[in-house]
Amino acid sequence: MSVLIKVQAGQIITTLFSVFNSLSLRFWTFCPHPVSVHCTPVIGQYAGQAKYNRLENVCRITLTMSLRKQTPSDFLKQIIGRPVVVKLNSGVDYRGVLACLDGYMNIAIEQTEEYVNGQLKNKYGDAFLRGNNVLYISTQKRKA
Amino acid sequence: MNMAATPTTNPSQLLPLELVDKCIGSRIHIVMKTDKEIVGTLLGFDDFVNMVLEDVTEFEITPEGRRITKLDQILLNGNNITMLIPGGEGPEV
Repeated sequence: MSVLIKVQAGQIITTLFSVFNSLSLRFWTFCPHPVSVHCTPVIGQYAGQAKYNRLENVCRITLTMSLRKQTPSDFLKQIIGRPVVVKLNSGVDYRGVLACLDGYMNIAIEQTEEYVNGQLKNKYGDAFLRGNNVLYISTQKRKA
Repeated sequence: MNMAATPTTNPSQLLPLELVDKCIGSRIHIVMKTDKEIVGTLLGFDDFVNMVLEDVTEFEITPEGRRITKLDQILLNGNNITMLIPGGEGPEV
């Protein structure tokens, strides 16, 4: 049997084992200890295969990896609706929820906060930014 | 019948975008037109060399090397990129 798992750089794949858990009780019985694989530095898709060897009483898990690129257009599709930080060429920072954007990096943000030199200057309910001014768009897991 | 649409190149040549492609998955140091540098893990890029990076640190060069660390992923506009350094760690601060 084989499973497809997607990982981020540096992520330890203990989840691999729990996937096998749900697929077959037998793996759990004979492989009680979690298997962890540290994937450095590559981000990719891993296809995993598990084979139980009764004689050695081992479960051998092999992972083959294929590199998966994430292009800018994929990135743009997946960040809509998320809180983002947009920095302009001028150095001004805008934080808010990404409403929509296009291929020119024109952006519409909701609940926008404008930071100049790290200081909050303005708040806007809705903001439209013209793409030619955008230096970068960043998702924010935690507030910097 | 068209066998190959791509022009044949000397196999020993390494094209610039091929070098960037090789860099995917590892750290890269990006120097901008302005006094700014970005270091991050390269996830992908496109024909315009807009770049998707992860685990990014932003460096402002002139005022005693200010540093802003961002988490998660960013899309960097290729318009302002001057130089790419694979495996670079960024300016010494």
